[in-house]
Amino acid sequence: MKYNVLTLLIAMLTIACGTAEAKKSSTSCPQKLSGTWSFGQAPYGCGINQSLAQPLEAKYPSLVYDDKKTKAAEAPRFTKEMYDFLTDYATAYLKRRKPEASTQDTANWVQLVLSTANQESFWTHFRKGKDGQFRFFKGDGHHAYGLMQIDDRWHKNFISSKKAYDLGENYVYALDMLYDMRVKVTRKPCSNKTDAQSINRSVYSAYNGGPASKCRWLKPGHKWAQNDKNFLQKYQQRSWESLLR
Amino acid sequence: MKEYILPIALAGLGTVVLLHSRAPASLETKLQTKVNSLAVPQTQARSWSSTTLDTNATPSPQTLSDFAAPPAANVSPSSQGAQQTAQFDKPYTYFQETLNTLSLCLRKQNCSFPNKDPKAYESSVYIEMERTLKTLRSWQERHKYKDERIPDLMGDFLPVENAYIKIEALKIMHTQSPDPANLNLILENVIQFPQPEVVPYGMAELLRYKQSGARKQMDDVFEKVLLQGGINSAEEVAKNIKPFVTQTNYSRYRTILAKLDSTPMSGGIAEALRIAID
Repeated sequence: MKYNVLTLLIAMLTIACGTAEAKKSSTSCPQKLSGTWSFGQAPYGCGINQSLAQPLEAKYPSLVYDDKKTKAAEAPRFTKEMYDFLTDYATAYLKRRKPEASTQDTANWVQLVLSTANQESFWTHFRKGKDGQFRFFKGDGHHAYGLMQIDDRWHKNFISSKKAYDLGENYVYALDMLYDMRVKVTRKPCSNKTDAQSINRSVYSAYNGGPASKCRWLKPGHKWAQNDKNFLQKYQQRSWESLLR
Repeated sequence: MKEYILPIALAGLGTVVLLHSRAPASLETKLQTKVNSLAVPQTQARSWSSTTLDTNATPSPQTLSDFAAPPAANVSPSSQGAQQTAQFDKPYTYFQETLNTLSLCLRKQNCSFPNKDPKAYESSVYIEMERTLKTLRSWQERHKYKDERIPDLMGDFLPVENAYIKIEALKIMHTQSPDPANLNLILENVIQFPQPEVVPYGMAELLRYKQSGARKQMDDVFEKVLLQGGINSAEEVAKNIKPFVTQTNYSRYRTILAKLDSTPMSGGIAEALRIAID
C-alpha cells in the first residue's frame, strides 16, 4: 500500500511537470509580433532578454529588419544584406568541408542553403517592431528557433546554450546538419535520383521532417508533402533575386 | 501541445513503476496498457507495440513485472556468468524487441505517434527510444549487470540520427567491456556527427579501445574532422583531444594546427586545439 501511494504521487508529479512545461512552452513568445510571409518579416517575432538582445543587435546591425521603415525601402536593403551574409558563409563553409568543390557544386550548395532558409524563415531572424523593440523569430508553435528554425526537441543542448539566438551560430549549426545530410543522401539517394535538384530536395525533406523523411518529397500524398512542394517552388523561383536588382 | 505531453507523461509513469520493482502486478498491468496505448490510434496506423509490428519477433514480456527479476543479489557480476545471462534473457529480450520495434517505426513511419508538425513523429519515436535506453541503463546499473550482448546491441543504435539516442547508447556501452567491433561505429557515427554534444561521450569511450591499429584509426578520423568536418563537432574534438595526444602523434597535431590557421571558418577549432595540445 505504502508503495502504491508513493508510486501514484511520483506519477502525479510527472504529469504535473509535463503540463507545466507544456504551458511554459506555449507561452514562450513575449511581446509577440505578427508578420507576413515575406523576407525579414515572418511570424512570429518574440521579445528576448535585454542582456541577450543588446550584444546581438550590436553584432549584426545591418541584419535586423526594421518595421518602422517602409517595406519598399527595407525589404530590398535587408534582403541584399542577408544575401551577402548567407552566400559568403555558405561558400566559405563549403571551402572548409570540400576544398575541391567545383563552381557548379558550390552553386548547388548555396542554392540549397538559400532555399532552405527561405522555406524555413524567409531569412527572418532579428526584427524590430514599430514599437522599436528588438525581436527574435520563432516558428512551429515556438519549438523552432531563428533563421534555420532549430528545433528545441532535437537540439536541447544547442537551444539551452542560447547560441541559437546568435545569427551566425544558428546558421553554422544548420550548415553542419545540412552538409551532413547532403553527404548521406548523396551516398544513399532515394531510388536512382542523383541529380542536384533531387539530392537537394531529399536534403530539405530530411531537414524539415527528420533524417528518416529524406524520401518524403517523392510521396505526394504525405501529410507534409506541401512543405516539399513549397521548397521546390522557392528553389526554382529564387524569389530573393527580384529584391536584389 | 498538451496532447503531446500527456502520452509522454503516461510513459514516464510507466517508467516510474518499471523502476519500482515491488509495485503490485495489477497496477503494473494497468500502466503497461496505458504505455502501450500511448500512441493514439489513427486510421490505418499500427500501435508501436512489438507484437503488432514484427510478426517474426519472439513474444514480448507480458507485464512490466518481468523486469523486476532477477533481484540484485542473484546477479552479482563476479560469480554466475551463464546463469546470469539466462536470468537476464527476459528483460534483455524485452529491451531488444522494444528498441527494434521503435527502429521499425522510424524506418516505416507507420506507427501511431503524434504527427502535428513535420518533426513531431520522429521526435516522439526518439523520445520513446531514449526512454527505453534510460530504463535499460537504470536496470543494469542497479543490478551491476555485465553482458557481452549489450555492447553489440548498443552498437546498433549508434547510426540512429539523434544525438540523445547515441549518448544513451554510449553511456550503456561504457558500463560494459569494450567490443572491438564498435570502434568503427563510434568513429563513423559519433565523432563525425554534426550535433557536437555526442563527441565527448564518443571520445571517452574510444579511450578504452586498445586493439592493434586503433590509435591510428582514431588519429585519421580526428584529423579528418578537425580539418574538414562539421565546425561544431570539430571544435568539440579539439577540446577533448588531449588524452589522445602522445609523443608519437604530437607532431601530427602540430601540423593540423598549422593547416587550420589557413582553413576558412576554422579559427575556433584552431584556438581549441592550440589550448589542448600546448
